[in-house]
Amino acid sequence: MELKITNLSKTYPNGVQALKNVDLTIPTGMFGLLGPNGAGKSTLMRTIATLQEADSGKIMLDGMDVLKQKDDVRKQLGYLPQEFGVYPKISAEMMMDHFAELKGVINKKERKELVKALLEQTNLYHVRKKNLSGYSGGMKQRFGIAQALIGSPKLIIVDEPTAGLDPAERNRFHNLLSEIGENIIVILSTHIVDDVSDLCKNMAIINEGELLLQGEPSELIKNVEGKIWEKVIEKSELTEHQEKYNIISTRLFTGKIIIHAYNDTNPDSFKMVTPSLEDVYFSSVKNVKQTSNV
Amino acid sequence: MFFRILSFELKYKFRQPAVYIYWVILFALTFLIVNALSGLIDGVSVSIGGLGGKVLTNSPFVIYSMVAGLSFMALILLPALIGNSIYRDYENNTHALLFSYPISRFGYLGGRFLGGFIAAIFVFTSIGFGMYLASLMPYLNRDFFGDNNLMAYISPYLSNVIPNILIVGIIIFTIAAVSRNLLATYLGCIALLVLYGVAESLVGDLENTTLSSLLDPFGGTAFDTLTKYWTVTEKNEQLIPFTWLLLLNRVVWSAFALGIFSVLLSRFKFSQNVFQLRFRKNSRMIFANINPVHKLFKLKLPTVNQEFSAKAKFKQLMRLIRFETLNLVKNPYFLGILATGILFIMINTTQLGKMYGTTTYPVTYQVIELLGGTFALFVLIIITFLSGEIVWNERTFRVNEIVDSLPIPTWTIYTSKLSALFVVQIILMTIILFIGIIAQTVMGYFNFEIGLYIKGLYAITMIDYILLCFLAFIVHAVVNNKYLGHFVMILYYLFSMFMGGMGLEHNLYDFGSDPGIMYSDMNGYGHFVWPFITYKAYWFSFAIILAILSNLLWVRGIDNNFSKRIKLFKQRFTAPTKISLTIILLVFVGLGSYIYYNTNILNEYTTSKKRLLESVNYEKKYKKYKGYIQPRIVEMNINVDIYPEKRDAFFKGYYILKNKSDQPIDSVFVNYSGNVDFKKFEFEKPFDVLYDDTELEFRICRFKEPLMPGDSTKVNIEIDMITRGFRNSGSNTRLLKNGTFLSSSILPSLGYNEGFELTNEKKRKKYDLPEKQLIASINDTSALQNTYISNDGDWIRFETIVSTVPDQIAIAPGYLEKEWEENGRKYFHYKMDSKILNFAAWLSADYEKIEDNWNGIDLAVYYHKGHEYNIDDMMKAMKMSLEYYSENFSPFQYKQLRIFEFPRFSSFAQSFPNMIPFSESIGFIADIEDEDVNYPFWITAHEVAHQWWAHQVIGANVEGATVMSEILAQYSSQQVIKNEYGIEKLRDMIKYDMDGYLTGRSTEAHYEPALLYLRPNQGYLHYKKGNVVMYALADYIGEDKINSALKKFVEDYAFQEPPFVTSLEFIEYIKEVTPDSLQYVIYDMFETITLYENKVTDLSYEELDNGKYKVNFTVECQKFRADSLGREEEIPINDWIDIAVFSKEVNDSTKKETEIFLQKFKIEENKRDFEFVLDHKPNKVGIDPYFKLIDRHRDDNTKSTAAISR
Repeated sequence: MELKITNLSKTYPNGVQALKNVDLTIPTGMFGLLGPNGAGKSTLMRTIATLQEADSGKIMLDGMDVLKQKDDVRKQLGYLPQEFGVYPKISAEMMMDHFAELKGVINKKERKELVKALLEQTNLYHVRKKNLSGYSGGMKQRFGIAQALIGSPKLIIVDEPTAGLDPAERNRFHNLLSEIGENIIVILSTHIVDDVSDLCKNMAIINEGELLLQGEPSELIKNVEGKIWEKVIEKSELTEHQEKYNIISTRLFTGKIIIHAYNDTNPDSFKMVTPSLEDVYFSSVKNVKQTSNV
Repeated sequence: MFFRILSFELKYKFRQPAVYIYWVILFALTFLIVNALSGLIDGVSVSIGGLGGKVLTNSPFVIYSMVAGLSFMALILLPALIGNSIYRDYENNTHALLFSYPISRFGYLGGRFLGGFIAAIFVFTSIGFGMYLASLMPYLNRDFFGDNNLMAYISPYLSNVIPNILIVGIIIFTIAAVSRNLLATYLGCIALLVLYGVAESLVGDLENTTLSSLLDPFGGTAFDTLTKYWTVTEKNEQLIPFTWLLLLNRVVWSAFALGIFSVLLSRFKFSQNVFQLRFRKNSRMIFANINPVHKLFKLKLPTVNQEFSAKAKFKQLMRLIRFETLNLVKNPYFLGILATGILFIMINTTQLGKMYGTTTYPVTYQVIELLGGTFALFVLIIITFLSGEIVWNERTFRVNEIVDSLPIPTWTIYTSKLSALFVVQIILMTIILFIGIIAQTVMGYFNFEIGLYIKGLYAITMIDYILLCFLAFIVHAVVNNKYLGHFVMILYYLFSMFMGGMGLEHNLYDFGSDPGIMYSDMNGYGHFVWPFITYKAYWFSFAIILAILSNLLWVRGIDNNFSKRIKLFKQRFTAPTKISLTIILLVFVGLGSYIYYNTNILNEYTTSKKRLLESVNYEKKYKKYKGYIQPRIVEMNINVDIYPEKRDAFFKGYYILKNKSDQPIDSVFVNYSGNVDFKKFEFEKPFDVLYDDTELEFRICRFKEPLMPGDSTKVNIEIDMITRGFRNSGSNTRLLKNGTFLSSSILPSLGYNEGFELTNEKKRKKYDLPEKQLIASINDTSALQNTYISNDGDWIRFETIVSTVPDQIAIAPGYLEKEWEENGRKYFHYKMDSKILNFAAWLSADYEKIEDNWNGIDLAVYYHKGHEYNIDDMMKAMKMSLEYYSENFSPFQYKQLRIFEFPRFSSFAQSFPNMIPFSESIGFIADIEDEDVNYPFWITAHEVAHQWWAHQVIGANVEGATVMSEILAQYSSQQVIKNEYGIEKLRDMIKYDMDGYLTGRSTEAHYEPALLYLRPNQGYLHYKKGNVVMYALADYIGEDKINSALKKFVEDYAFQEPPFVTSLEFIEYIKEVTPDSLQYVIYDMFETITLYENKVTDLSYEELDNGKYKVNFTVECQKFRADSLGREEEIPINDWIDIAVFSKEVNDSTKKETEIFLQKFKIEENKRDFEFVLDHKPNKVGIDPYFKLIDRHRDDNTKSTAAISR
């Protein structure tokens, strides 16, 4: 089973082109969609989640045309939106039961068990009677993923789930995600590189609506091996370095700045470093042409 | 700081396009309305205080009414204009920043408020400009306009608009500041509206005008009270003065508002936290445990079945309906509106069927109509508001992305939300039902007709609301902006209110409409049911089309732009949808065609404009035949077969026509009604139909040989009144399943009929018709040949056989000769043994009856079973009336007198020879308590009096004719009332009638003549002023003297042949019995329009040593003479006026106020002092305390000693 996106484009009425001829094939397992804020991730996610129309292009899921057979797709879909609220004055248990019935879990007994299991395993069971509106951000996200899991979906979309979570909650959330089956498609969109490196078998990088890279994280890292150069400089030197070299990232460290450059050879008194996924991400977002596009 | 914030706010406001958009919308609206009022469109029936008559569109009165009225409606903009000044900060979250700055409360609140206030005033100026500009438009009929007076445009702003913006603005601003919620501010606006409604309903009770004037926060009631009695001249010429009442109202409410503002100033906190309406305890925030250690676990979920079958969909739908309904009914704002609505209708239950301060029994249909009617506004608000809430619910709480991606069909979402709104309607209707039953119980009425409640509320009232829900949903689906959606709905309401006025009269394009449905205890819903069902089925099929379109356009997902929605529309527009849409379209068109067939083919569809043109054409074409002498009806012998079930009636019989003139007659002009099949009108004397205009229903027949003076001919008549299908509106409510009441006016009439002419002067001018003389002059000798009720004949022989179904009784004037059954029908043969006026009626209904006898005269009241309440009073009134009238005037001419109840579709009683049809709505269900005016008794006495005053003596068809019928009937019934209930009850009635007269003259469309010259349709003169004047006259010259004059008058004129009597001849009889010193009273009351301003000014009293009391007071009297347009002139006073003193000490046990002194004094100066020594402690003194003289300010006629400080 795979999700195949071909030539997908979308322009908003205000002229912003959110997707530019995106071609992407997503296999089963956890797939990370990495990109900065405003890259078009959410547009892509929502389009796959049947909530938005594309101007052109096609999305096929297992022989289904996602853009046309919305009802069929929805039966197989679990979706956790980037931002979502809750109905006021309703408990987690009630809400979950409601969603479960709407997802087709009609049998009352089954539904009850399912709701219980979901709340237990997302560690919300002890607060199931509380109103959702009183939940903290992390609890709300866990509730969100729980509802996405209702009814063994074949496609799960989680859009920026860890933004705004504290480290412990993020950790907890990663654990949850990592438990979701290997044989269904899980698309995780994020701007946090660690989310992808922690969880994903496959990934793609998207920026300004364009797909920059895709592949397995380790392979992508391999592609930039020997091309990432590091140097520690004074703050005053930054401008000069930025003009002279192809700087892909800067980071403050004990009052000084660590810069990473992308180059085939040592630009000048830099030190070669073992690349991380972050370097892959920054180098691609910096719009560096890579010859080794998969 | 204050000025900086103010100037910033002003700059902000005036940079917003909204301010200018509002200005332009209001301007355009005003401009259009003034155009419409000034005759741009013929059909428009909008009327403001007599406008359309002689009141000018740019008169100070109309300008004030319009500016105040429109600005009242525009107050709904204040949340946006003034509430926004503070709400904006919360909405944009700038308050977090702003509140950390060092600004003062006064600077912030004052500056923001004043900025919004000024912007609002600016917006509201558009109304005045709109009126002014419209008044200059050269294409409008200039007769509608007089000279513009600048002050007339400014004064409403000073006394009404600006104070209202201040008052409402502060309230709204405060609510916005406290609640930080725009919706709450709108609700504040609605609450004020309710307060206004309460004040309005209190105005119904006369005593409360001062209180209600003060209670109304908008000052409208004070204005109405002030101008209530204004005549045409005053309206046109007088600026609205700042009276103490208006001033006090403005001051009280402005002070109230400023008080609120000062509280706000002292309490307002620059805090982040929102004050919220909380109905339950706040659910506490839950904190998660921080536990960074990775707990290993395996996600393991039970396997479940996901079903997407039809059954599953149904279960999901049910679940969603429950869920959405709960969302709606838990909405605190819904509960708020509902609570206000309930309060409002509970106040209104006190108004059930009031007439002369007397209520009716709270019969179920009245309860449904009153409560349903007053609640309607709230239902509209609820539908408008809740439809937006429910459609936007997911987006409001940002769960839309989750819900929209759920595997449920869009129609499930749509249907569940719509159904939830339906459930709310059911709840609302149930609330009305309960309040109704509670109200009935409280009033001691226990005949709860649950079946009728269910029909009236759920099957009739609710249907319209359900249809409206469909409309609201498609509006929200298409518009896709919550507030714009609400606005579109309001525009729709306005449009549907005015579309009739714009000439769009067919129900086929008025969404949700029907030809009307009305319940009567006698007739049930009767024939209204089928067209109602048909129309509603038609509109429901349309609503389903709307539903399909709503589904196709439903916003699901987050793509909102139009092209994407069109794309989705096409995607969703699948073959099954296309098929169902086609089917339902076919149903819609089919039902529409069926309706069209009924309204336009089986029946004639006429618009107001068409009727107007018909009357113009009739006059233009046939006025030339006016004055052609016509033969007179001397005998009417018409048999009527009534088929109540089919609502058909067949008239067959003849007139005998006689040439009573001294010239030969060769042609007869016949007017016949188009609503019946005019089958036969054939003279036995040879004749030709020379001309027949079927459009205007006018025919000319010419005799081959002229009808010579003194000769007679018989004319055979056949008319079929057949009900075919149903009409667009105005079904025949005289021919019914139970309670048919057909009068001879549907029979053909002879000669040119001036009654068909257009009377509106401005329209006449527009269609080039000469100025109309509304009634023939009292000296018009040719008009004296006719009575005022018929131009075709005067005293006729009458005979009829009327038939009906066996379970009904059929009635007509005359005595029952024979009664038999034949072919399953019942026949009644009536014959009158003496001549009667050309005025007959045929009735048929299922009746109960009570019978009695007075001096050999058979009496009966025929009534609908269940309406027994007042029949004994009616019977008693008949007896007492017959006794008083036959003793004091002349013998009763018939051997029998009967009252017949007829359904409430018309509400009057009418006296025919020896029979009185009497509407069920004006007395049969009156709930008379001891202190009430017993109006069933009174109306009976009045109608019985017509057996003398009309059926014995009848006036000529000239000015003043109804003096001899209505005014004398009023006088006669007064005496019967007085004998039975005492003078106090009579005085109570006089109070109402004084008010009725003064209000009536203020809305006179043509001119007000002196009583002797009144026109037959001037009810406010012959009923109201007539009652007041006759009461005074009896007091001034004495009942006995008047009776002796009347006795002589009847003797001289009863059953006279033409020329008929006039009011000038009549008044001589009264003058004859009036002493010289009081002749002026006749002149003042009958021959001129005379008004007084009487009042008590200074008052003091002291207890004397001998235990007596000395009372001193001053009275002021002014006397005015008014012309026919109400222009007044003060004239010297030299009149006898009552002076009275009252005490509560006379009867120690009751402490009732009793008159201890009453005497007429001749007042020769405008001011006069009185001093009396009396046995009892005075409580009140008065001049003309019983209102014998016409006086617009009656509150000041008496003065209470409680009001003086000693």
